[in-house]
Amino acid sequence: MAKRKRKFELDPEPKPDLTPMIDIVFNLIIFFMIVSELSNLTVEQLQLPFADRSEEPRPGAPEKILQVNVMPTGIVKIRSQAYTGDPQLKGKYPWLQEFLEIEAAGYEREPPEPGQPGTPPSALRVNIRADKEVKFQYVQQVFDACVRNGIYKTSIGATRDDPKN
Amino acid sequence: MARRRKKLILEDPNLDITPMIDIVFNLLIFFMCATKFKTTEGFIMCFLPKNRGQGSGTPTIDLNEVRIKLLWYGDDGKPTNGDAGYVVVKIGDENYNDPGHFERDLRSTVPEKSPVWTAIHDKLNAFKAGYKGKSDKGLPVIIDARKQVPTKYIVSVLNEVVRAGIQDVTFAAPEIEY
Repeated sequence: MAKRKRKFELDPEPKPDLTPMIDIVFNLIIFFMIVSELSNLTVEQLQLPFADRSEEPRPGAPEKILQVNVMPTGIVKIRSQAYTGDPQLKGKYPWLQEFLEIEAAGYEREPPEPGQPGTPPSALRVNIRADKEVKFQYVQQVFDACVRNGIYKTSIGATRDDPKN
Repeated sequence: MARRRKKLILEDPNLDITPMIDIVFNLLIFFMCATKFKTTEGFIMCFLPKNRGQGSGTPTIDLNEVRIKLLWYGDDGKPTNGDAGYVVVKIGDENYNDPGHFERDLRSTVPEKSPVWTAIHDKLNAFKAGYKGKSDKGLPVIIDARKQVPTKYIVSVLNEVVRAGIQDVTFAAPEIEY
């Protein structure tokens, strides 16, 4: 009797269910999109000094703040552009005092105080974000450039994260 | 004649999701690399003198002012203009640390947490309580730091000044070298 050949059946192709993986990946993308600051050109990556008494920036505050970053090398960066207030580097980089003069001209001036005939005070506020290890001389140069242009509202950036032992 | 029924074959639509997964993974890698986590960044206000531009008048001096000096000492224990050195914090003639204290302090390897700042805070509170000047803003404090001092020490002093509730803070002008 002829043996009947058994038909060899291939198992159906295994189909892994990708749905949970895609869910997780989408959740990760949404998380990174929310927490990331992609194009913040005004703020450089710096190690700021610690100050637990520093104020938190108020969201929606009307005043405009010019972020001045003092890099560990002493170079000043404003909107990713390098400047200097160091007389020894005056030819190499644009002069900070001239930049602040132009910047302050775009803001209103407050009425001068009686008996003080100098440059009327500017409404511009400058936030100095200096690296914690940078020499104070470079911060002084920013202060000096501000004072010469009547900018009196300044602040020093600091981190509130507790430094670890 | 019986009509033969046609068998209805349902086709399983095969959606190829490989390109979508590729793009999604690329997006994920991009966001992971480009992410800078927001840090808790704050600021300390420091108002500079108004009207000190060209042709300004002479500022008045309050004799009750407190001057916090951040000096720069060399290895020999004397003030130096060199890049290598140590910070010494002084109020009046009183030293708050010895040269190299912040670097040697075994209780805390972080200078920002040094007990020096607590001592300065207590001293400022004592000055504030005993202030007899006439300024509306209260006790005037001047922070006088040498140019070589790292900014973190100036911010630590400023932090203690703010903690003591002092409103009139000024930074001394840099020394003019001859």
